[in-house]
Amino acid sequence: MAARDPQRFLPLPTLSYYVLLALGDGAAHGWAVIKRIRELTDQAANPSSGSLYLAMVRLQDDGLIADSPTPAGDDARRRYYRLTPLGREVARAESQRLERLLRRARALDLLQEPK
Amino acid sequence: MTRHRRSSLAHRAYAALLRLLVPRWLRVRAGDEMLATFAARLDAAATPRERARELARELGGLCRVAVLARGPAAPAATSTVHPRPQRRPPMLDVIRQDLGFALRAMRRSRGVTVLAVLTLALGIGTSTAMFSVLDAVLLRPLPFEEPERIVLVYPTIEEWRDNPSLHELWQQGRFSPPELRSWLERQRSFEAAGGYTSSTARVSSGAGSERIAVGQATAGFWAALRVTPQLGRLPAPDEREPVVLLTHELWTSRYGGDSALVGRDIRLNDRSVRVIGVLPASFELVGVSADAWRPYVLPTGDEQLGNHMIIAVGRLRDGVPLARAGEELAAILGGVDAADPQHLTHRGHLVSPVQQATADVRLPLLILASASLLLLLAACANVALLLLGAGADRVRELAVRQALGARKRRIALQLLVESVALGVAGAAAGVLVALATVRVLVAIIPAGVPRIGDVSVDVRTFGVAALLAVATGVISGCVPALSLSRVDAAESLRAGATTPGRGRLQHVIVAAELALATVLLVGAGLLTRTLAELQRVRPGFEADGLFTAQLVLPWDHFYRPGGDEAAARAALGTYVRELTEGVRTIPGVSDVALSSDMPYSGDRGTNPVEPEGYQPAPGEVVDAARRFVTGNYFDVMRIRPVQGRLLTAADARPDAERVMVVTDAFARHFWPDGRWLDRQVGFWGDTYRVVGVIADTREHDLRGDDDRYKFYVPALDPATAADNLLIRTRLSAAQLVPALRERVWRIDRSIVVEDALPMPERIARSLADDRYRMRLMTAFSLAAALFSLLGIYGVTSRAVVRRRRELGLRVALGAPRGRILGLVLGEAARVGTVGVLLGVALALVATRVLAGLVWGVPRLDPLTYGAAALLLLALTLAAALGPARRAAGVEPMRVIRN
Repeated sequence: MAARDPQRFLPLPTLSYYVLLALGDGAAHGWAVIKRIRELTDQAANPSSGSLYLAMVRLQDDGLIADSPTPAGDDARRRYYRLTPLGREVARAESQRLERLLRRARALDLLQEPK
Repeated sequence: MTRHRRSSLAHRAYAALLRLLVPRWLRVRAGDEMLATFAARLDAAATPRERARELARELGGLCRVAVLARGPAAPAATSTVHPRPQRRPPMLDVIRQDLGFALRAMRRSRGVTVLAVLTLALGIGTSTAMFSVLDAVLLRPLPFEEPERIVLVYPTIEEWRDNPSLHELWQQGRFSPPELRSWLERQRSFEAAGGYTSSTARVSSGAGSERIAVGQATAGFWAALRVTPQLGRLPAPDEREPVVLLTHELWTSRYGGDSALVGRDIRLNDRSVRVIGVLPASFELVGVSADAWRPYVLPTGDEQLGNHMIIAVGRLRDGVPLARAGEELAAILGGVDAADPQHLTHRGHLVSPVQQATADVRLPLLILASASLLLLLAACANVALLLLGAGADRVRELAVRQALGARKRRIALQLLVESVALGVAGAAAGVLVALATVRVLVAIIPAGVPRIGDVSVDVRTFGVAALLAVATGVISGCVPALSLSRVDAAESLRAGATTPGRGRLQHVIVAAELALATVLLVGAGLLTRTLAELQRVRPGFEADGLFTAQLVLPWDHFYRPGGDEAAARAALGTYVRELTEGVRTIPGVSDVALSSDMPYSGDRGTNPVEPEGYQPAPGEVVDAARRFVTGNYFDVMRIRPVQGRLLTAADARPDAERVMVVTDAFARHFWPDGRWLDRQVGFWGDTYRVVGVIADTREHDLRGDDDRYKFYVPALDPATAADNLLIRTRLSAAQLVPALRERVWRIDRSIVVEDALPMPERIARSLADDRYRMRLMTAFSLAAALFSLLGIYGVTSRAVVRRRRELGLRVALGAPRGRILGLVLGEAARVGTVGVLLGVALALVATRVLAGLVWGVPRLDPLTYGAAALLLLALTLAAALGPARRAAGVEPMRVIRN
């Protein structure tokens, strides 16, 4: 089914990719997603709530993420999001795409390996 | 605590912006979550600095979302999928896009933008400032409850309409006390009404004396206006005690706003009067300038039936039309004066106070406001030209867009959005211009224009500026928009194609601009010539070397109720003689005369006269302006007789024969047979013999259409001519005034010396209205002329660029450079001539509104029209000369090679 083809979503906008990565750790609400993105990028990325939700709403429309029941013991008033299987596949596909790019960069000696 | 409050403020701001910027579909789905995330993020911030950074990031994010979450560009930017099927973008989004585009375009062509914005700023600023003046003077309602129901009530007599000297009374008759009483008792049209009169009084204290205007009002006056004092109370309905209410102005300026003053006494005309209250600062009855108010209790008898001195103010009942109230008044007064042998027709004249007070200034102000709108129109034309010119450079861009499928309507809209953006920028700058212009206007417009001091730039003004911004944007943008959107894409994209023939459109606009400038210039010319003519008028006496001062004398020292009048008169006579003698002996003063009326002060007294042998027309009131003067009056004024002799000191002796001097107009009017000397005139129960005739003088107005029938009689009673000093001197004002005060105060410290100024200055002051109208009109017309020059320069320059190839060819083929110069100048001259002729034709009609203001020059004065036309034509050629010389200097080889 063409609509389920992960390749169709590539390349993924950076912020969308971050969101998928952040939710890879488990369901989370918006603020938690932002905090995870900050950690993920060593504070380099710090999206605003507006940008984040615009991206998340679109990801949801495309079926990459979905509403999630609130995990026990957490704030029941917030909405939680989780990756869908499609989302996981897309994240994987995008990561592989980036991986290939990195390999290429390394071959061209554009990537310094940590010593 | 502080932190919490601040966070809630930030929270509210974020919520408001969210609502404003983020499209509904996104808000519905994620708005609450965004808010919650926003709050969590702010709470997590450790330091205020970090908080501020996060806040900025969040607000910036909202703006980003506002752009990304809508419009055709949105999906590609953030969506993970490729564009969904395109909806047609909604209008607002299109405009938003165009706006961004317009701003970029404005940044690109900075020169054009700056020029256009400046032009619009000048036009919008001037119009806005004029609106502020109109608003404050003509439009703003009175500061009372339901001001539209308050009217001034004048009883008038229909037969007075055609009598020039009674015309003013015909419009604004006064009630006598018994008339007012009957009307107040019987009228049903007003829910409250009262009457007032005004006079002046000397207020004195340790701080010195000054003359103030004192209104006297019946209790109904306060009820009609629904005034509540700021301090103290209003007078009781029958209050006969000496009490006074101060205006806020007097209370603060003279008494320093001391609230302990209420309940204490002040000295008015050397009598103690109790201050019972202070009126609110907002209290203002336009046209009535009283500094203090005293109660007026109407007398009950009929003895004052002929003393017409009261103006009434009423608050109309709901739904009562003015006409009915007027008829009611006429019916009541017809009954009161039934015994009147003349059987005059009574009429009620009701008018709003604002209308009444501004009747004389309404037309001039409206004319000037229209002139400022013409200027704005010229500014629009100029911006249209600029846009067309700039558009010529954009033809390719627009053609590309068309070739890529943009519809023409879409392109026109884009251009329109651009010009409205210009208009808004122009209005923003225009508000600054307006702020400055309003100050200039207030300084230029004479204080005689009611409420001119209240002019300010306020919210309404900004509203008008905004309206003008959009209007100018549309007006100046629609021609370029229509013209440029019609560009033929294929044609324009062909290599080397130049702008197609939009030359004609530009010429039309330039011609229109010139026509507007011509109209304004002709108007300015007519007003300038009027002022020049007026300044050339000789008033009939020698104003140079004449100094004037008005004294406020302590009359109450002499005339006490129940006192001996003859003794008072004698004492006053001595006092006045000492006073004039004191002034006369100031070194440098040659003589001092006294008169009952000060020329050019607005004083105007007329009295009934009975000229021997004159048969008045039915209903005609025979009266003339009288002057009580000292024997040396004509000498000081340097007036010579045309027949007979002038008055002398001997004529003023009580036992002397009663004689008078009349003006030429007086004599001609009453005795057309030409035998003037020794005719008898009855006046105030005496018979006077005419001993001399003088040429007509202008003592009220240089236009000379008032007070032509004048007669001069000796001031037998010193009280009739005591307070107006006419001083023949070679001293300057700076030298004379201190000496004058010193001499006057040596006699009596309580005398107030007012309005001490040279006669020429007094006369010049009477021209203040003419002067400011002339100045404003001239300023507007010069600005319009400047605009049209810029227009011609721009259009000619572009034409030269456009025709470079052709001109180069001509030169190569041997055309003399002089002919090239002539060619370019000729085109400018043609456009100029068409525009100027059109303007002259328009001016022939438009100057009709100036009819009442122009004097001494025919409205269709060929000289003024010709001068305006020639001036603009000459300027047209001058503006075209630069580009024309550039054209003549074209290097043929280079042009052709390129």
